[in-house]
Amino acid sequence: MSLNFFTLLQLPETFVIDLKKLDQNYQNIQKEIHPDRFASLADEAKIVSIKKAAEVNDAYQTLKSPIRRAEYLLHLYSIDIHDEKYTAVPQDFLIQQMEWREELETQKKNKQALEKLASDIQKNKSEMLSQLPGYFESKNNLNSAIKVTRELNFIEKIEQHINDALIEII
Amino acid sequence: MAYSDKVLDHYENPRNVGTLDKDDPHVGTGMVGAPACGDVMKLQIKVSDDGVIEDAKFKTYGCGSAIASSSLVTEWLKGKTLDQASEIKNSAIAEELALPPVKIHCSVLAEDAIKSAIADLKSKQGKLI
Repeated sequence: MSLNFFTLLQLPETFVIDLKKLDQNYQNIQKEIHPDRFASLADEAKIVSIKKAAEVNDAYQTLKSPIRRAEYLLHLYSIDIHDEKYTAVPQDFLIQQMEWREELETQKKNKQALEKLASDIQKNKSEMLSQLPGYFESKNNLNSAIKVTRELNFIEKIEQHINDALIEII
Repeated sequence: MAYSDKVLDHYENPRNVGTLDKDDPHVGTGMVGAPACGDVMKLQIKVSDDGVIEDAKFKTYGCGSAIASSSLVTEWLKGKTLDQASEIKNSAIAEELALPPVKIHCSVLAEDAIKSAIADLKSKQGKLI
C-alpha cells in the first residue's frame, strides 16, 4: 500500500491547502531522497529511493492542481469520478460544452475568437474552482463537489483543444 | 493504439452528422458526456407517428471511437421502432467496431445517448397528450 499523498507531503487532508508549504515540504523530501545522494548504495536501496522519489513527485503533482486534488480527495472517500458507467452529465452543462466545441470548430483559425473563447472558459473555470472549498468543507455537499469536479474535467479538455488550435495558428 | 478498419471508416466518413430541430415534437434529443475523457455526444432521432425512427443525426466531440460509435448507431437506428432501438447494447457496438477494452466506454456513451434520446422523446410526447 502506498502512503496517502497528504501524509506523504505532511499536509492536512483537506481541499484547501497551504501551497507554499506544499512546495517547501516537497523540496525538503526530494532533497532527502534524491537518488543521486544514494549513488554509493546497493542497487536495492537505490531502487527503493527512486520509487519513493517517483511517488513523492506524483503526490506533489496531484496536490498542486486543484482539480487533481479534488479527484484525489474524492478517491479517498471511495468516489471514482472517472467511473465510465456515468454519462448523465447535467444537460445545461452539456449544451454549453457543445456550444463551446462548435465555436472552437468554426473559429479554429481565428486567433482573436479563440482567445475570447479561452477567456470566457477561464472565467467559468475560476467560478467553478471557487465553489470547491465550500463543497468540501462540509461533507454534506460532496455531491456538489463530485458534480463540479466532473465538469472541470470537460473544461480542462476543451482548454487543451483551444491551446492546440492556438499553437497551430502560431 | 491502432483503430480498427471499421472505426477508421466511420471516423473518416461519419454518417448522419448534423442536427434535427430539437423543438419538433417528433424529435428526441439525447446528450451525454464522459467525464473521464471529456467527450460530449449529441444524438437525435426523428420518429414517425407510428413509432418508427425515420432519421437519426449525431454530433460528437471526442476520440475516433466515440465518433465511430455514434455514427454507427445512427445507421442502426433508422427503420427501428423505439422498443427495438432501446435494445441496442453497447456490447454489440463494441463488437461491430472491434473496440479495444480501453475504448469500451465510447460504446457505453453511444448506448446511453440512445436511451437519453428516447427518454427525451417520450417525455415530450407525454406532455402533448
